[in-house]
Amino acid sequence: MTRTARFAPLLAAFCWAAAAPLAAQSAAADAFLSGFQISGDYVVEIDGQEQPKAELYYSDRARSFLVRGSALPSPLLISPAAREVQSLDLMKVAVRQDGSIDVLADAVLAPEGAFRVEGDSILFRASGKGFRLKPRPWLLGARTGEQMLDSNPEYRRRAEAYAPDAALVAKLAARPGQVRVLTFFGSWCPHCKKHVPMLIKVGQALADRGWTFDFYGVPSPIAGEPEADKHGVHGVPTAIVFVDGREVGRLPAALWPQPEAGLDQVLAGARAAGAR
Amino acid sequence: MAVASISSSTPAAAAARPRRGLAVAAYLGGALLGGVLLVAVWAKAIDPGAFVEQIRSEGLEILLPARAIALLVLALEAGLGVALLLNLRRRPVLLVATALVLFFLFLTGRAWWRAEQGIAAPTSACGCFGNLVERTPRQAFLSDLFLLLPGLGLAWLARPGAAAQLGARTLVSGAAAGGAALFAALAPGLPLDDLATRLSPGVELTSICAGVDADRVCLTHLVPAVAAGSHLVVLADVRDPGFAATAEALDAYAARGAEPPLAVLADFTADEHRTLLWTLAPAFDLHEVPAAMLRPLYRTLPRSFRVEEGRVTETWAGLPPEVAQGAGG
Repeated sequence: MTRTARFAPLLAAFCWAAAAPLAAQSAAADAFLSGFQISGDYVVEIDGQEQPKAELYYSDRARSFLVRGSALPSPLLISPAAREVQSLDLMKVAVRQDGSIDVLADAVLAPEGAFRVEGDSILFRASGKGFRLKPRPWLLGARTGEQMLDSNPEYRRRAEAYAPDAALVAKLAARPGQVRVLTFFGSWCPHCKKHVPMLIKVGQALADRGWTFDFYGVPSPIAGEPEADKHGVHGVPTAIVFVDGREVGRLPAALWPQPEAGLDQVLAGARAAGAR
Repeated sequence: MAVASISSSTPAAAAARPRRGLAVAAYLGGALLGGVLLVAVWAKAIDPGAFVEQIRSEGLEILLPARAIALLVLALEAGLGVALLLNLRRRPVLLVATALVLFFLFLTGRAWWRAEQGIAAPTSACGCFGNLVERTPRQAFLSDLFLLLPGLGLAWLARPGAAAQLGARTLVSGAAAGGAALFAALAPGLPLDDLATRLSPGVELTSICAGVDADRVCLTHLVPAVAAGSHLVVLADVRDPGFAATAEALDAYAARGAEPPLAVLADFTADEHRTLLWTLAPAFDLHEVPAAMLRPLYRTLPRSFRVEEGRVTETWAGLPPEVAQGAGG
């Protein structure tokens, strides 16, 4: 192997990391192929090897996936509606400040062929390599918030995007006693994907303030899962609030879009009940 | 003479008064039970599909298909209801009514016990009054207990002796039984969706909810996008083999960017969503709504409605005219 060949992947990775943000500054985004957000729905395999560093994005507007990563010769656009895979120049992919991706308006899409659905996987060939998108395995059992964020890039993106109400967080932090929030979730559940990362973010803000946040992944269907049965959990997400080891309430489903407000309500209810 | 007559009849009249009072109370008790049974018949007969689902979910599909059982039960309830209203409190009528009431109480009691034991979700309300009334298992048991049992108990007292017009009253009760079964058989084809479901013009989306206590969630929480502005909302069954054709019409509407925007609500699993995404690639917004919230909103799917600023303004059986016409054209 020549010296150049040995360093080629490194060079490609550098270009991949550096070129996209540069491209973003120079050209307008495509009106349709834009707003790609990181997705945790699938893991990417190339020629049978899992690619943990490959990133999968999805755009609601384009109704398409985009795969990119240093192991790929070029980013790939997968359109379920057109049932085809196309490749595009790395320089025509722009990364926004918030981490989402746009394809630039002057990007040229090269057809790579059709994909096929095999069981729950999506298979296709591009640049002479065999690709497989496999559904991400369910996250089961006891987890910490950080483990949750590490397990799925979409959880991290959603957690980072959420800004809890600072005043409410300060109020929660000032509360005396040990508070534990045990959250049952399903990594397969769309509402969990949307709201549990927000609670993780609240948990980060309350770390070292007498608060503990634990998470517990359950399968689908939930019925028969011993830990869920033990706590009388019939649906997810369900966050159970314990104060000094005693359950004082559950986060109201309606307040999941602002979990710190839900926690405040549960604790206020517990205080009122205690006063009575 | 008159005085003597009065004084001689007074003890008999005094003795007859409580008997008559008891007879009136007994009749009213029977009539109350009959009325409750008829209301329950109406609530179930306008949406026989939901009743059939309930029979299956309770594990009562024995010997006969659930649909046949549903029609028989409705006929029985209607016949008993009318018989009690007509004061036909014969022993066989009351024995059947007692058996029916005890069976209903057993079902609702079992559902409550299951919920208390954590065997079933506490949200799975009993559909004894169809989908019109949202009740937890506890509420279902207690309301059945208080609505049915006192009337039944009273109906057994002071039963009339030789009944006048027995044949005519029996005939009317039988006709009611047959009529109820016939109505239930025809109901799916009648335009009764607004009456039979919790979705009708004027309903606020904030009132479309499911669950109890902390688990209670409303449609506006699950699909906040439809809470404001004008939207067409379609309730769909993605498991129906005919959904591909429905999706084509919805796609055509969404793809041409027509206004108002379209939202499709369905109950589906993550696997089903993935399959839909790769096979149908819908251009419309598909939202997951749990069956517990969706089921009381329709008799058959698809069903659709227009919502303006969080309030339902129109409903349609099938797709909205704008979507259906676009598909046809």
